[in-house]
Amino acid sequence: MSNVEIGFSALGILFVLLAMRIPIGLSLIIVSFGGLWVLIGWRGAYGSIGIVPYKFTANWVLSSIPMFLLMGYVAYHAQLTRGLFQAARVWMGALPGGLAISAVMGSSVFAAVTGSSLACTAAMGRIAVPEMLRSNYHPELATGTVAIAGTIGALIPPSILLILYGVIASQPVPDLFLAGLGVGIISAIGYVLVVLLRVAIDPKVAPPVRNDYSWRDRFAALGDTWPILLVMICVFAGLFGGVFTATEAGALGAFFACVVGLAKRTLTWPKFKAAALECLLTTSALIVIGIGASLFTRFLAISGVGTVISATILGVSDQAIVILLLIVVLYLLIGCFLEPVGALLLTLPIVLPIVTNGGYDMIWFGLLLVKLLEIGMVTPPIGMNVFVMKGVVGDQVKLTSIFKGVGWFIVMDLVVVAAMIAFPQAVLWLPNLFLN
Amino acid sequence: MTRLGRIISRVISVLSMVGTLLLLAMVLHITCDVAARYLLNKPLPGTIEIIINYHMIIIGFLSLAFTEEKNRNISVELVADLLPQGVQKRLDVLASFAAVVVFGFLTYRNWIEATKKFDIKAYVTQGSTDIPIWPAYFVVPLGCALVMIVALYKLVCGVTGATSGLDTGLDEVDEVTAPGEAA
Repeated sequence: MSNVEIGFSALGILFVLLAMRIPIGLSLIIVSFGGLWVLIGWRGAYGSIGIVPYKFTANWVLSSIPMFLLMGYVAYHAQLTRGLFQAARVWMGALPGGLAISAVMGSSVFAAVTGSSLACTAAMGRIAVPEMLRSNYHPELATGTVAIAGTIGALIPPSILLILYGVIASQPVPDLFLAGLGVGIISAIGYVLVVLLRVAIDPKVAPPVRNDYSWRDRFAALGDTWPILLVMICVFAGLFGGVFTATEAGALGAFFACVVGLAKRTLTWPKFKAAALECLLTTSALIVIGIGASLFTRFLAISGVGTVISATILGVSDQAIVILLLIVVLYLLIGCFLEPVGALLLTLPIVLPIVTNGGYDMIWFGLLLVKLLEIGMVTPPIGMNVFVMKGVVGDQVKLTSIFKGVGWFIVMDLVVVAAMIAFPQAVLWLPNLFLN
Repeated sequence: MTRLGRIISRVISVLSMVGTLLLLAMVLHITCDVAARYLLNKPLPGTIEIIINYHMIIIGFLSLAFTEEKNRNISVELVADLLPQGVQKRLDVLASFAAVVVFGFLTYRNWIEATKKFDIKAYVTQGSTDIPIWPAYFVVPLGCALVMIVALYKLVCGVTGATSGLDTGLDEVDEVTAPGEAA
């Protein structure tokens, strides 16, 4: 067998292992080790498996992941962002569909504290959805808005997905974060437009709510949340200003989230421990897949499969747009079945050669990938955000209703994806403005 | 068997406590480094190397067994979910077997690596500070060995049908944001 044939056989075995529900990290390690053994002999394979686990984990950029995770989980468990929805409501409630718009705004701000789309959905779902249902909002609109708004959590910094992309593709995290901020804000504006449109078409889905707040009330409503927001603004200003690295920004964010929590007396030891345990579970699950993905990247590079796949895909058409559409469709499909971290680490070793050989901007491509994978968080059959939303509302709303409610917003997301492809310079505008 | 499972879970819960304290230590260490750098103009020596070689390695590898115990590894559920319950149970046994083999081998391989680093007393230099890093290399086989033990226990329970005494629940954390898959 030629090297490329060995590579493709290994890919086939990988799919079989994955289908048998062997964890993604394990499957990648097994296939890469076996493949390296066949390709370059025992010594090479044996050497790799002794070096990669340590080298992958002892990484300064990677160390920002547990810090940002901890910051988000502490803020979540200590309920530091509890007042966000109320604050947004007091400011935006007067608009048509005001509660839904407030939920989008609340999620966008919460996104600056957490790097996770699920935490974002859970936090906002518990507060905003019951209030919308009480105000006779259509259940599809209420749950759909919050499920989709959660995806902003993985775009607006911090973002675990963007850090992982940065580690694997060797791209600077501040640039990715700034681009993510832009895409996140545009997505949020898109969701607000969808809410306005739906209410304009059928005002019954969102009856007006009482809204006679004075300016004094409006500023008072901010009172509860400003400390954590101030912390976030300082941390990210420091990161983008080049004062801190990503890890330092995450650690300071976690530190001050704890300080704010202690000052408000909402952070107790059991809550800190819960936040830390979630952080440990997520970090080590990421590390196993990451080690597998690093080994797999090595194997694919040596086998030449990466080059063959990228040549084939790039050879499909000489039109860049056709190739991009292919990638978009592929990732939308992958997103339906895989959760984003697994999908990202599993596919990057194969997709990165296409991106480098195709001459695409790596920062822009990272954002495109994360956006596509986040759409996968709300598409059936496996839409984690929708499942979390279902967990929050219980028997009040059916799963299919939540998926239906999200449908409207997915159309808007596809428009955003199209805009990202049509105007790549818009995605890169913020990083170019601040960092170059 | 059940008792053995409880003992394993006890050990893991101690390790997760170590992880929790280390996370706290990591936050404080980095915060102090930044404060010392900007306020006193004198960063703490070797911060980056200590964080990545000790905190990251210990947090990452000692929590692996915790993740294995709670079944929080990320896998593709789609195909297997369509299969009958009996077949799914067998697949779980197979996954445990795969974990025993892979982590067993990783334990052996990284133990060899660690002894090599021990022989040369491996260290890194940041600025003018030498930081020994060979002890951190022993954490990798230790962590892998613990996962192997948990997986082996699951495998034995799966094959013999014995009730596992492992604590797979997550009472302390929030089930709704079920971690491991969160991103």
